[in-house]
Amino acid sequence: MNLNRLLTSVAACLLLLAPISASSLESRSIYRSKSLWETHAGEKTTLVRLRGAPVVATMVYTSCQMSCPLMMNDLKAIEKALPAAVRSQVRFAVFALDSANDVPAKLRDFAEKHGVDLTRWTFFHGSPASVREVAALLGVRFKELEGGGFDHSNVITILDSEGVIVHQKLGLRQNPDDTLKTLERLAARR
Amino acid sequence: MLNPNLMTKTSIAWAVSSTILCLSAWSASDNENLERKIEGQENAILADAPNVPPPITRRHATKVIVNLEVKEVEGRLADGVRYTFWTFGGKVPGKFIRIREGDLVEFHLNNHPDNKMPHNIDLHAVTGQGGGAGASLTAPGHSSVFSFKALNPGLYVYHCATAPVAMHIANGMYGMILVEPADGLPKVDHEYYVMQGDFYTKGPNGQQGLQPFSMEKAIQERPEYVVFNGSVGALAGDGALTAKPGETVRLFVGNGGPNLTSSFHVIGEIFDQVWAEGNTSHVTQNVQTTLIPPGGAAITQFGLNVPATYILVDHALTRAFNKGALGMLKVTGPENKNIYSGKVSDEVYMPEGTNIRVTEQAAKAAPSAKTKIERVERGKNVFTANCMACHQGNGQGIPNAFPPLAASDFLNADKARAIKTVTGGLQGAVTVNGKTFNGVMPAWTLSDEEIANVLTYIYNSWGNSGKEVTPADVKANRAAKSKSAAGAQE
Amino acid sequence: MRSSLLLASLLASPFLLGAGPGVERPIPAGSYLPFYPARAPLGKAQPEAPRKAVAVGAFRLDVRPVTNREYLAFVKANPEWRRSEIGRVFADGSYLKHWRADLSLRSRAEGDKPVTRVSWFAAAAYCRARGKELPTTDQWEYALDDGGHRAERMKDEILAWYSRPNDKVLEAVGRKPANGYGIQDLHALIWEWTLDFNSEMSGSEARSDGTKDENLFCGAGSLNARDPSDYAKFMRYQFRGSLHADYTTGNLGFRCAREETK
Repeated sequence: MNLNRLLTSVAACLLLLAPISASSLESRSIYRSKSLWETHAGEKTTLVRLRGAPVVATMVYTSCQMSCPLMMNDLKAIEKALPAAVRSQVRFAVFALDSANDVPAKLRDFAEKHGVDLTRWTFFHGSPASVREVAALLGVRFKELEGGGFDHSNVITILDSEGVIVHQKLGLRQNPDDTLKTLERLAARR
Repeated sequence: MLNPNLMTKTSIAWAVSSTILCLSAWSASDNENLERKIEGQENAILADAPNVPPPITRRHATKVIVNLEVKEVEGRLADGVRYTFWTFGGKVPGKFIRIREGDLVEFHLNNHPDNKMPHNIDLHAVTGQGGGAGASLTAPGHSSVFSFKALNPGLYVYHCATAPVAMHIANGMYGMILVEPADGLPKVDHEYYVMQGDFYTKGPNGQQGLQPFSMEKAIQERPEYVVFNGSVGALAGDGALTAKPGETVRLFVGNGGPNLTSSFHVIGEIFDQVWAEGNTSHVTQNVQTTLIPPGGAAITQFGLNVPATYILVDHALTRAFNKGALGMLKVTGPENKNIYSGKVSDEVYMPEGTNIRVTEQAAKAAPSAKTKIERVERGKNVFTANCMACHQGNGQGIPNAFPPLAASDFLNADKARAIKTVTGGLQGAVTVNGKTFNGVMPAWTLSDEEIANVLTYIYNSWGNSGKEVTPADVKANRAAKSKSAAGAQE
Repeated sequence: MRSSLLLASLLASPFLLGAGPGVERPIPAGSYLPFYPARAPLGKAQPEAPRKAVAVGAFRLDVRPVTNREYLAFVKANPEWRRSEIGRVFADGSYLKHWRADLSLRSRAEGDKPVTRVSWFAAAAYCRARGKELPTTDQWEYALDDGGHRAERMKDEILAWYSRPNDKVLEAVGRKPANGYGIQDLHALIWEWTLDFNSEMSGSEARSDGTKDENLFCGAGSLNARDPSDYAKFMRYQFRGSLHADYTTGNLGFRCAREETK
């Protein structure tokens, strides 16, 4: 009886401690979000999978004609401009705004079309609630339009390896110098 | 992107020459300030109107840190009239900022957590999106930081640019930033900060209590109040600007608007120099009235020669006399009869209409007196505001000019005549206590209550007969006059 | 046996909901003229009449804003949303500053006042815990619009509220008359979060809205407000535009909405 009781309370304590270990994540880490996602490879996951490396993050939708291709170009240009040692440490996270259409298969096509290295790039598909949560965390404005498509702001976010936002760039075709410097600084930290 | 097949020699030549032209134009104006080296940093000294921070003495560009707090405060717009002002720094106009061309400003816009509204700032001295507004939309309890380089010298307006912009500005969200030219401004004895603004209240001018903003009147550009420095009389009485004969005064004058252009004039003075529209390189001399558009400014400078109370006005005069666009510069010191010989004294200066303004507001503020003692007390205030200038504090008058009221046989003999003198004025020779006076006493547009009170005060002071005059007496007296205006006066 | 029950209940405790759902009323389907006109994405034909009414489906809306007492029940059951526990990423440093402690209000009277100093994340989590969501901006504005009744009076009341500084002491919810839908306190008490508060593309300074800034916003056509003289409404959109999801302010609260069940 006593042993049972002891084991139960130890188990209970461990369970109570479980949330505390998640809060070992920095207080400002966006990976505290419990939003659920599916990667382009069909893996069900939460944001915490991105922990451990500096991340360049943005939000697009695949049927976007104008700015999303430009955004992808901007991201690829950043990737190319990084020194090789830094590049190997940096990850790219692209969140799809279009829950209805941008399912994992679509995201795989999109990734292929853009010729990105999937060992470094991950595309995420989520429910409208998940999309809303990440947009809120990244400060991205968006609105679904009549007849399909989205109005959205163009934001490139740099997260450190703990998921804390350290830098943001608003707009397309911006000078990437400070973005590159930030990534080099983050890579050197580790 | 460039398709060589489409490029012709002509288009290449055009591209090259326009680039050269653009570069040379650019380098002529801003280049110096773009290149200026920034040394060190300092916290900006900010000042409340009508004062300004001291002139810049340093000879190098520096980083200036400005902390400006937005505060929504309830305050006085006119006597008995309250308004919720949205302010930069707690007052209208907002704090005066003073920097030097080439400085790098790190601007902190802080929106107090007790505020209800989001706010931002557009400084006309800023080159960049929205003049800073693009970077500073701030919710209550939060702060925005942005920096800019002061590329151009001049006196610039700043204001909130949160939509609806006219409402934010109409509630008082404007101020000025002076970017001194590298060599500074010439030294003067006094520098003052004056800013005009139009206010749109739901109730008509003079209606008491807390007045909400009226959107309709703002859109129709029909302000109820036009004032200097945020309220009627801010630059009058104790708030008046001061100087001495022989001194030079520089006024940094801005116009927050939101709508009205100011025709800025100082009665009794001429602007020896005007730097129109806030520029600091081209001076115009000997200007009587200078135009200041909303969102604009002017620097006026003049030397004072004789003592007087100089009146600052918007020369669109009903704004000065009926809406409050009136301020004072009191200059006291030895007279110079060669320049001005007339007998001018502070208290007597009453441009037509201002008295009406002051007394009407007093009428609304004070309830009626119930006893003779109350009448005497109230009457003393009316006396001080209206009669004392001529008849003097102890009712002794001025020999050969204004008859005495103390122990006055003229007054004590005939109460009805005394009332008539106040309501209808008096011209022509009168004999009081054995002396003859041949002046002009104006008719007073005061209420029955006020006239009753002031006459009762006079009758019960300085050895007079101790009568009481009631509002009913005054009313009856008016009715008995053959020439009185139809209808009851308030 | 007893020990496994204890274990089970300990496992279940984080999932226990607080008090039952807030009182709500059905809002019938209808339409209203949005402040900003509808737009189609670039490349597609723009709507013929961009300033046309937006249809809003039937839904259910809380009669009153969520109160301090209701929110207290929520944080009792959900420790990660308590003031001392919450991640800084989900709410700024002023979160629930007006409460005495994690689990206590400053006075009983506070219980009936609308909860303020809550971020969008917190408000959204509360509604989801009740099986609801924050109302969309369209739903919220449509409810306030009240079919256009009392439009001028309401504009005046709202402008009068803007003209007063923040009350030092907030009023309790539910004191003022309900509108035609039976909903109270949509104006003149607090600002309220909406689900898509971040859906308007207006920039930090709205004076340049109306110029297409394709670099900043994808597909943002002209952003002319429907009625730029409706200062009351304009201000609401600007206020929402000044917010980030983690912000808390002393006069910003929320209420919840639910899809109409068939």
